[in-house]
Amino acid sequence: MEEKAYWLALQRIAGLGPIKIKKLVEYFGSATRVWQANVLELKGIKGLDLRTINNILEARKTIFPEKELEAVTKKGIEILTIVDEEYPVNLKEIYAPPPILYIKGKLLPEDKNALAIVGSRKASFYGLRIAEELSKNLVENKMTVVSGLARGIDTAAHQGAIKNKGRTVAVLGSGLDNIYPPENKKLAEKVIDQGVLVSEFPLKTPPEAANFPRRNRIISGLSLGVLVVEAASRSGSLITADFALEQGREVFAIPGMITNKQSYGTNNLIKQGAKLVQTVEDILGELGWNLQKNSLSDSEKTLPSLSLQEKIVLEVLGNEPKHLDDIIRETSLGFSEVFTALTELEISSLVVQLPGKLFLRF
Amino acid sequence: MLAKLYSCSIQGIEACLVEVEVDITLGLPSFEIVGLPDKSVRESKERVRSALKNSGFDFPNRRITVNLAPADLKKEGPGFDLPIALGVLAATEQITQPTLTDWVVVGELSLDGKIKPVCGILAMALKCKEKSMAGLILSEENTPEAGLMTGVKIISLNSLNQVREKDLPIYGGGKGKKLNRAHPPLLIDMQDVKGQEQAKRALEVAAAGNHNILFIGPPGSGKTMLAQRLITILPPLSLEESLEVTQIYSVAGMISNRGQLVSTRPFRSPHHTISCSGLIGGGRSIKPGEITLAHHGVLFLDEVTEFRRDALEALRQPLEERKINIMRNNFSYLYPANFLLVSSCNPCPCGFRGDLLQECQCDARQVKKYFGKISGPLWDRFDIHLEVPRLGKDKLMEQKINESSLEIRGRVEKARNRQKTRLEKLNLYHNAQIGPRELKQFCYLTSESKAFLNKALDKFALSARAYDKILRLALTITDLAGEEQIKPSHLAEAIQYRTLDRNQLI
Repeated sequence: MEEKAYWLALQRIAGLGPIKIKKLVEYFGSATRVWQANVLELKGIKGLDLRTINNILEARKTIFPEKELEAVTKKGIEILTIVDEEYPVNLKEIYAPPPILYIKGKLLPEDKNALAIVGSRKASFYGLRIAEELSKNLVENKMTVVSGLARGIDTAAHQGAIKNKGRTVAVLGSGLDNIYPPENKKLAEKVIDQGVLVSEFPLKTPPEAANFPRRNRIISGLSLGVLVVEAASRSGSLITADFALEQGREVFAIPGMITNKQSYGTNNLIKQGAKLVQTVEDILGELGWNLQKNSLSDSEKTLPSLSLQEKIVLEVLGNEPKHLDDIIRETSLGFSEVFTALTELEISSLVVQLPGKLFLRF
Repeated sequence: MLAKLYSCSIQGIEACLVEVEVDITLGLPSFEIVGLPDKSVRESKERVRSALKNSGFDFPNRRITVNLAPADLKKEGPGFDLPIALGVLAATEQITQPTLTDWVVVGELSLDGKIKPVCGILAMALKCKEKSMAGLILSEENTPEAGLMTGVKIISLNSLNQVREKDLPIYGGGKGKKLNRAHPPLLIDMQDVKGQEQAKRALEVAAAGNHNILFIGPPGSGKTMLAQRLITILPPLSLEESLEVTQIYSVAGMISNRGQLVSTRPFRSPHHTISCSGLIGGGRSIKPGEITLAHHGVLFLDEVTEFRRDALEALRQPLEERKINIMRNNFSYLYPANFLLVSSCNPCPCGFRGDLLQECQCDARQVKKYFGKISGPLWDRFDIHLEVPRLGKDKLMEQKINESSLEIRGRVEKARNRQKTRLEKLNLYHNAQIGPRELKQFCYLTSESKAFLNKALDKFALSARAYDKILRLALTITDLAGEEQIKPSHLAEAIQYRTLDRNQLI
């Protein structure tokens, strides 16, 4: 227990990154010893410059390891150090893994079979739907879905897992007591129930832009592969894909229309050699994982018996959203017939309604 | 000597009788008005003094006391000029008093003795009739308006000089005089609106059941155009409604066509910078607000999210009670406010959410914040939420002939009549007013309809409140169809008017 407090304290020292911490701990044998080392001992280490040593000495006056740990545990947050057994194995393999992780929830050994789903915060309906659907399929195949709790695709990915009682991991770019975006606070609580919130940032860290690339390296680091659902040309999700390649993980991408800005990044990834994904089988096959259940295949989707009007309405609806007035005009049916048909089709999830009274075949 | 005559003061939209007593006694020359006069009444002494002198009368150089009774009622406006002047003349015996007893005198004086019109004459004429007063003495310009009320005698004066004349002509007082109620042709028509079939249909439902409606749509989608045409599909004003509306406009001094009842339903569209008292009524000197001016008509709040929060919240009570009570200085002023509320807003701050032609720039949080400007209870007052799309060029150029307002109005009237017979016993008029308990009584669902509704409730995760709204709307839709049973198709339509109840993914 004590040891963890010193790990925490070390992490708070300015200018002491993962590499140096690792070096110091290896040199002294434990974090406690590093913290207690005297000036001479520190000066004796090769490659440790004077400024860092000064920083360490200064920090000892202002940082109190026990208090740091107490503040963290008070909030129900656990600390995992890189030497802990529970520390995710996948993450250990990457270059400069975070020396400590703040976690809330439970990290299970099975969570090593994880796939990251990332994508645009401003996703299209298509993207959100795919993210949720594939997330569902992944958890049905006993995989853990990793994402970043951001708006858009991330949210859909977490929800897909939660709704289907699967495991999900959310990696934050801020302190664990500082959930961002605020509207996802409820989602974060559900993630804690069915998985774990992870962050390498100390408590109270605000969600600064510079944190997110660092967070992205953990997302890919925790996972066997990264699935990019929708990404514009300079999206943060592409950074995650880059990290995945660097870390030797698989990169998957969902193709989109070439006219769609949100699919530019993903289509480009495919051009560069990322695996194109149509079904969950494409992902599992690449990972050498056996398919247990595949619910996206059409054969399983049994169509409920449709009335004549419902069939007519379904016929005029395509993959492009269509407004109610246009449906009425194109089908030449009356108001109440179209209303009934659309509501029935909505109920049986064959049609979905988008903002603006637009309807889309599901 | 003491002279006594009657005048009227406006309280709310009603007139109340005020006794004007003028006493002239010996003493140092002075001119006092007592009985809670406001500034404009107190200033009347200067007008009376000059008007009397300039009309060739003597202004007594003695102590003049004017009492306005009841003394605890606050009196406003320049309408007391004429009764005070006549009182002074009677008290100094420059005119004979018997002519004045039991007549109600109102009018503003100019310094040269001309008599000017005042506001609220119709209400005063109504009061005269109620209290069986002899008649009204007022300005010539006010005569046609007073003439609207049958059975009230009128002496109309142009200037103060005329009171010297022996036999002033007396107008009105007849019994059978028909009210002048022209129905001007409608200048706007539903036909003018291209496309927007579902929006027109929703307006028809709103008009039939008196359901408040909220339009959500990008800029330029025709929300204002649609809202303005709602009055054209509502049945014409009945005689009593016409009188009430005219009375309100008379009190507000907004009558444009004196001598004619207001015959088209009011359409009020206040700007979103309006203050709470401007909307509800009140102000320093109490005036009816926009909700009262929209009585028996339509109140349209364009860009409803931009309105001041306090003004919007103040709408909640009058929306339920159909009247507003404003308390001021120990008096309460009652204004009727039975209006249909139509509002519009954008689907998001940038305005293009759900638009097929232009991309939206807002994220979910901004959208949530935008709609959060309207409180939950106020949301509840809207029975219909309707998303109105922006039309492409091709549809705007379309030459199709649409249904006219008159055809739609025919259906609306039929549906309204059905509701009337159903709700008469409960003292209600419209489906929108039905409470949750009566709802069960009127909305009997067949097992087929029940099953359909249950499925929909599950799928769309609708609340109990939304359930009630759907039933109420479905009842109106059934009325429009002229059917007895609520069918699944009626429920389906109602569900489509409640899109904002759903938890949408985006």
